[in-house]
Amino acid sequence: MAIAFHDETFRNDYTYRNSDEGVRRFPFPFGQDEYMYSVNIEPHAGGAPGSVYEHAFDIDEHYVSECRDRAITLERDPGRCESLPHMIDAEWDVLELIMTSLARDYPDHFRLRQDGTHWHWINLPLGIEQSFVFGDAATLPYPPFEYITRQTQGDFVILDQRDGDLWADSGMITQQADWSLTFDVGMSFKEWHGPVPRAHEIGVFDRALKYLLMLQLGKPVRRLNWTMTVNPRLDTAPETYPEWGQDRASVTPDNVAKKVHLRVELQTLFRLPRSNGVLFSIRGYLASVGDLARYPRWGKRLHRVLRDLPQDLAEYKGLVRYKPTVVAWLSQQDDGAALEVGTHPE
Amino acid sequence: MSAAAPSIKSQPVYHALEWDAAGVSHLLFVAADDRPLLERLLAAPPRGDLTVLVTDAAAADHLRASGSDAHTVVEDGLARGLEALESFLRTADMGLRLYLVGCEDAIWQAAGIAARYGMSSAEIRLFQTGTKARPVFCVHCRAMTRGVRTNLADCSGCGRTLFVRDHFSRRLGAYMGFQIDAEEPGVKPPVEVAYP
Repeated sequence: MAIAFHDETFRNDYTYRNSDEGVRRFPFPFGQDEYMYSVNIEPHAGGAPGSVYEHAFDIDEHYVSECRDRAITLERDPGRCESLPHMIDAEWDVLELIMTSLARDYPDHFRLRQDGTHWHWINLPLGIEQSFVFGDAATLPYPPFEYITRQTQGDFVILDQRDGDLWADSGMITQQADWSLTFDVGMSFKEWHGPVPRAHEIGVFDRALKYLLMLQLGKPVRRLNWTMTVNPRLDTAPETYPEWGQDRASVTPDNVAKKVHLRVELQTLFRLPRSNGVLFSIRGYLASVGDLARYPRWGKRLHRVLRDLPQDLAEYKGLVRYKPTVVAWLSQQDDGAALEVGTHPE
Repeated sequence: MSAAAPSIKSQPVYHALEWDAAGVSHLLFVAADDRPLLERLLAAPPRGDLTVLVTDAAAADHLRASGSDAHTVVEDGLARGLEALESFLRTADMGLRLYLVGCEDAIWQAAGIAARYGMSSAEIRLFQTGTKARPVFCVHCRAMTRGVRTNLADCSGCGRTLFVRDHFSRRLGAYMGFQIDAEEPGVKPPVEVAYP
C-alpha cells in the first residue's frame, strides 16, 4: 500500500503533524503506571500489519521530510556522520541490509536489482536512481553507510565487536536525544552509556552487553526507549543545544498540549554478516501530548508515569524545567481509574 | 577498585601503576612530579630495556638526584615530550609497554599518539597524578580548552561559558563541555574550583 508522504518541517515553523493513523500506530512505551529502566529486549520478528513493528525498518508518512531534515543537519555539520576507517565492510553490510529490506517490504516505493556485484537501486519517494558496484565505494556519491542512511528514517550506529565489547565506531546521528556522536564515537558500550543514571547500578548494561555479544545473524532484536522534546524537533543534539535549549523554557499551560512531544525510540539491533558488527537503529517517533491524550488510556498513563518519575531520571532526560506544566495539564485528563496493563491505545 | 567509582562510567579509573612482566621493553613517560611513585617503580625496574622520558623539570631533578641508572631522556615541557614520544614510537619494536604518568591532559594526549602507532590499550598503562585540571572539548565548536580547574570555563574557541561534565572521551582525551546557560541566557551557577 502506498504511503501518503507529508511535506512538513522539523525546525523553524514546525509544521510536523501526525495523521490520525500516525497517532494510532505510535509506539506508546508505558504498559504500566510507573517506569524504570530494564533490559526489555525482545525479538524483532515482525508485528501486526500497519504497526511500527511490522517491517525490519519502518517507513511512515514522515519519511520524505525526515530525510530532508537530515540533509539540512548534515549540510550544517558533516560531523554528524562519522565512520572509523576499519568499518568499511560493516558499511556495505548495512547498505545491503537496508536496501534488501526496503525493497522487500515496500515494493511500491523502493526497488533493488542485483546482478552479481552490479546493483541498481530505485528510491521513488526521494526520486533517486543509482547503479553501482557493490563493494566499490567509488561508484556511489557518498560512502555506503552515509549513502543509505541518508535515505532511511532514524539514527544509526554501527557497533564493532572486539575484545568482548561493542564499540560505537560508525554513526549517522542527526535526530538524537542529546548525545554527541563526535564526542562518543569510538567508545565502548558502557562508556557510551556512561551518563545514564541508575541503569549501571542495577546491572542493565552488563546484561544488555552480554546479550548483544551473542546476537545472531537473522535474529534481530528490539526495545523501546523514550524521552520528551519541546517542539517536534529532530536535531536535539548537544552540538546545537544553544539553538534549542531555550525552547525548554517556553512551555506554558496554554501551549503545552501542542508544544511538548513524547519522543519514543524504537531501537533495533541486527547482526551484520561479513563484518560481524551490529547495526543499532534508533527510529524515533514524535507525538504531541495533546494528540496522545486523545486516547484516554494513554493520557492517564502518561500522567502517572511523569508524575512519579524519579528526579534523577527527569534530570537526565532534560524534563525538569517543563515537567510540572505537562503533569498539571495531564492531571485534568486523569480520573484516577485503574488501567489495564499494556500499551494499546483503546 | 583502587579509586571510588565515578558517577559517570566513561570517566577513567586509574589503578596503582605496576610494571607489566609480559613486556620486552618499557617506556615510562613522566609528565608530573610524583616522587614516591617514581621511587617505588625505579627501586624494582622491570626486565628488559627501560627508558624514562621526563617532561616535568622537578621530576627530572629528582630522578637525577636519585641516582637511578635507567636510561633517561629529559624534554623541556609537554609539547616537546610528546614529540619525543612520537619519535621513540616510530622505531619501537613489538613487545614495548608504555606507562604514562601525569595529569589527564598529558597522559591522554600521549595515549592518543600511542594508539596512532598501533599500540593497543592492553600495552598502555595510565596513572593520573599531579593536577586534576581537565582538558575540555566544546561540543558546540569542537575547540579544546586545556587546564580547566573550575566547574565552568570559557571556551577557547567560541567563548561560550561551558559546564564541564564528567563524561570522558578516551579518543579525544577530554571531558565534554556544553553551554551552561542555553536554556536561560545569563543564568549561571557560581564558579568554583572543582579540579585543583
